[in-house]
Amino acid sequence: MRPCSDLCADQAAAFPGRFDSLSAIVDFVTQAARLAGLESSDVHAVQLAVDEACTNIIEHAYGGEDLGSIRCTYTVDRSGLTITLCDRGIPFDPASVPDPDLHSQLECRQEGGLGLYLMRHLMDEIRFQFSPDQGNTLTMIKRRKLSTD
Amino acid sequence: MHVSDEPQVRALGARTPRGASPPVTGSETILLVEDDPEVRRVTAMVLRRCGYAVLEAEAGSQALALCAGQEGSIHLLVTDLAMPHMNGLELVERLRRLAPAVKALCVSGYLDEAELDELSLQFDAEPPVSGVAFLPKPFLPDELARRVRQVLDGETEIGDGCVEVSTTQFKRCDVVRATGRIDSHNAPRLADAFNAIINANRFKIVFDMEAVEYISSAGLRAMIDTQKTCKRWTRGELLLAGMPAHIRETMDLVGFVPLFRCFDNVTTAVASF
Repeated sequence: MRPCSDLCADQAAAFPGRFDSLSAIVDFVTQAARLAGLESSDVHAVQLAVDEACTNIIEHAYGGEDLGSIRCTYTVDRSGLTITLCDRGIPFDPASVPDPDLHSQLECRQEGGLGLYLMRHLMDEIRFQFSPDQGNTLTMIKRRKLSTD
Repeated sequence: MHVSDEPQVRALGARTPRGASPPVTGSETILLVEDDPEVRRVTAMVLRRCGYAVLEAEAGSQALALCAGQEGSIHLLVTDLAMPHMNGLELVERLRRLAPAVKALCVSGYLDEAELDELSLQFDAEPPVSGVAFLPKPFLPDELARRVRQVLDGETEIGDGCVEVSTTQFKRCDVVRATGRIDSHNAPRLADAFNAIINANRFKIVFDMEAVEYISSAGLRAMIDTQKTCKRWTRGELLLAGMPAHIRETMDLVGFVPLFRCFDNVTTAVASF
């Protein structure tokens, strides 16, 4: 898809908070990532980061499936793509998640914390906010790489 | 057109199996769109009796406005197929721009039995819009309730995010091939495929990743669990074959690359055992 030039676009959609929504949510942001003119490796990064973020919402904010919805909004502008995920689950404190174990031997390897770690490293910027009125709001930004042409 | 609220006998063929029925109640939110007020009233009453939260609209434009202002999720759209200004299929397409995961059930009358059968078969074989089911009018309340539950529970695939996991047994090892996205929804299927091989006391496994679009941390956990089990007592190993570059970057990011031997393709991986 041709990268946007001056184009600005935004769209929002609500999804049931369950794992079988992940496919539709990822389709939704994939369309946005392509519209933003991101490189294919960055489209993949957005897909994976959003998948991990929504999984965290279902598992930790809501504590299970079908206990609330996920509202996904994207904005495409010259600089790239901004994705916002909102939920009404319990406040999420990213500082409470320990860093994942990336270096120990196989038999000692712990598997926790990979999702948040991936989100942080795949996106250029992520911000968590909570307010009693709005619930959790996660903002993730992926910037479009400048063309060298 | 009518929704029968009284017991009626009607030739429904295989579409409405009788006998012991699974539960047909639920608590999901259904958006009901029907331009005939009496049909809409009775249909809504049947759905509410089943426990569903029902939003009612008499036209597609009103349904879209309801969806845009809806705080919670809408799980299912039940819509008349033939409506003025915007037909049911157009409504499904426009509604999915607001709520891409919504499932849809189109109902329609004004057709004779042969036309209804043809339309039902067409929807079953290849719906004109992805992930849309069909129910012919007139229908009995229990037929509506059963079909609604069936659509809500169904694995209706919307979009192209499906995953297929298959296993092929060779003399020296087993090859698990996955296609599509491996996320938290379908990672258990990958884990099940690995566990089925391990439970058969076979511990040499090749994971063919060539057609994997991406693998989330849920899938990575399935891989690491399998590797731990296979490598115990040096009885085997999980090898990775045909891994796309972007997935290798993810594996590298989380420090998984040193834990697996990777091969360009399945043939060389199988030959290495």
